[in-house]
Amino acid sequence: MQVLRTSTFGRPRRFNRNRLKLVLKPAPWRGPENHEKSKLLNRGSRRRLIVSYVLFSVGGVLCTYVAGSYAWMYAEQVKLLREWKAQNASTQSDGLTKLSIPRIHLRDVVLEGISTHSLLSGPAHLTGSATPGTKGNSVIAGHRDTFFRHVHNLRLGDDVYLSKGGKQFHYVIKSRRIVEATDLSVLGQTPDPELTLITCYPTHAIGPASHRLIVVAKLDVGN
Amino acid sequence: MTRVVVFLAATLLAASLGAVSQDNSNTTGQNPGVTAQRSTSSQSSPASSSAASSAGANDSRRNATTTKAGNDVKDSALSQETAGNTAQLPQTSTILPLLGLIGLGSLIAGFFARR
Repeated sequence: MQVLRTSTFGRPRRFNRNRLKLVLKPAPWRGPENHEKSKLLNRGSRRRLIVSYVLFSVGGVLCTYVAGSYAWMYAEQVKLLREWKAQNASTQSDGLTKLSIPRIHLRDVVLEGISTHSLLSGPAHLTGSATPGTKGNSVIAGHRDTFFRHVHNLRLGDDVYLSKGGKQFHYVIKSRRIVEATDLSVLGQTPDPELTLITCYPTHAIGPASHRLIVVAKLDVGN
Repeated sequence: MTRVVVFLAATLLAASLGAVSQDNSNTTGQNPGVTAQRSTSSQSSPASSSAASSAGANDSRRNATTTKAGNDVKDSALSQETAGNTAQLPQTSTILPLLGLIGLGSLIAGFFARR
């Protein structure tokens, strides 16, 4: 006589509770539906990979361009400073001018003419305004995110030095104000020798600025 | 390997584009002082000729007209430089921080897109 097999109910109860949570699933490649699903998944990950490549490339291009621009500015200033030193030694009267502001550790050579190129290379002297050290208003502009980035830290009474042709002119800051970009009164001529520094305002904003920070310095009488 | 190649190629392309743009700006804005002097001298010629025609009477009058002409040249050069920016003070902000920010954002987004 054949003995019937015992049922699974005889097993210990702990197995019936299924604490292990072992869930068996069919393999993804089995069956036509799963195959399609895996294809779609692959396509999605491939798209993400392409997007990541594009983002990496754009990011790399932009970061390289920005870093290159700053490096180029630095190299230009080093070159100009070398030229200025050579001219200063020979005391040329129509040579380059160096702008030094000890408080903000600024020591850059000023270029002639406010063009995009000259403003990228350094602070630029407005053509037609007075020559530094002479009577009248001498206007120098600089980018707020490169050379004049710390100009907003200047306070009244701070020293500004302009060196040209072996001579050094000492200016003292007498006023500091914010004007509209269309306010051209700051370029007006003055009876006394003055120096006007112009940069964009707000200082830490990104993009085109609607205002300008104007710092006016007067030539020291003892100079 | 191909990823590295693609990335390096893109970086080199960017560097070369940057260099080309800098070169172009060099050629267009070459020696700004010289160009400014040229424009000043070209403007000074009609002013000085008018001054010479009117200054035949006496020396004092001639001196006055020449100084006036000099001031006119100075003012015109100044106004010409500012008029280039449609009567605005010089634009002293660059797009470099914005570009840097976008570049960094792209790199971070690309990093997260790969994960």
